[in-house]
Amino acid sequence: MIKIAEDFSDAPGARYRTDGPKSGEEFFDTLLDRKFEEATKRSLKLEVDFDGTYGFATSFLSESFGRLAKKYGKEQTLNTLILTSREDPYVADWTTEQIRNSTG
Amino acid sequence: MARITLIEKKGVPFVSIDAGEELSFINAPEWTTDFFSEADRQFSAGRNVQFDLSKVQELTIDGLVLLVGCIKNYGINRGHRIDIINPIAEVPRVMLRKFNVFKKVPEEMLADFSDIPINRVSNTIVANGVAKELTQAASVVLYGKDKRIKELYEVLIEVMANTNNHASDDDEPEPWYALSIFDVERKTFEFVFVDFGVGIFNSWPVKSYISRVPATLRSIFPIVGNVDRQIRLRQLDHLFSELAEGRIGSRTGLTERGKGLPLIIKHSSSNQFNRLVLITNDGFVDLKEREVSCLDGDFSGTLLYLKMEAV
Repeated sequence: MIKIAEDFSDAPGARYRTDGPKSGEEFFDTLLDRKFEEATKRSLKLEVDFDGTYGFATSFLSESFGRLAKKYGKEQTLNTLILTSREDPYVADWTTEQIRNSTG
Repeated sequence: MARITLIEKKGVPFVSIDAGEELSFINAPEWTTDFFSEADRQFSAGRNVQFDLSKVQELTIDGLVLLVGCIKNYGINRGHRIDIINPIAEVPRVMLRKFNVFKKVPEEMLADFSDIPINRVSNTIVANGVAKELTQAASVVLYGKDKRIKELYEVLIEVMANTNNHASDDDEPEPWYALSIFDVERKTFEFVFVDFGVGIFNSWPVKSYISRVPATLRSIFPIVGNVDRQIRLRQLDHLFSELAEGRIGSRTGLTERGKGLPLIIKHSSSNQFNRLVLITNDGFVDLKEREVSCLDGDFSGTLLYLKMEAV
């Protein structure tokens, strides 16, 4: 499981490292990709919990989860992830939609 | 038109620009655009500029942030000299001092305003730390506790990202400037953010969108020559709707991009915000009311103003 607020940052940034700290690119490189790969190898689900943060830039979500979809394919990504957002269900729904619509 | 006078100060020539009585982009957008456009014209012509604020009675933080930007941004002042004549009226004079725009107001004049914490920041990146600190401070002022106001954090971080992604014509990051006022007594938070980039309606994605519009619809985009104000208003209204729906993407052309502005517009309907205004190029957009107006002047850049009161 990844709880973004605790395992990465409670104040996530934007898309790329060059945009500023705690970007979606950094999240993917340092945490999301590794955890996803581990889960895949063990045929487990990976829960990502969005609660506890101050909020998310759309670019943070589309970059990190978009990269995941590009690397592993939309179907495997959606089948492996469990996105949890009790505080703001819109975030999980929006991210799921981004994975579905990701290009490449 | 802003009134200008040629003057000399200690042997150095300046063009003095009269700011009039109200320096407020959100309340007097036409006049304020004209004032800053005149400054831009004079800097472009290689002249030193004196901002004559002596008659100013009302100065809002959005007017202030534009002043700060002119003073600090080399792209605007092109290294020419700047002078400021202080407002005679006490309130705007003290406001300038509090924001450290210049340092000539006596300290004793600050006493009445000491309970209004202010914050002035500038950067060229998406500063998530600043967005978090502002959100924390706002929630403490508004609600007496750290409440994690997501709508505020996301508006702040998206407007910074917009500057980072779209404001510059080249790869150089465009600086942004922000000012905020926390009024503990009235439980209000005001924030203004500005960049002096190309502006949203003149950004690459919007220009690219216009170029892709089918010929049958092209008549609503008469981008060459003098555009009638009513036609331009229709054009701006249409572009704003398309931006709000996320139908105008980013310069990458990827469909998953260009979702930041739609999120800001979505949050504008939140009851967290009493006012949310976007001014860019010749567009004045009251995001809360979903009203688009067309300005006579052209503001090269993007300004976002928001006001919150305890719910």
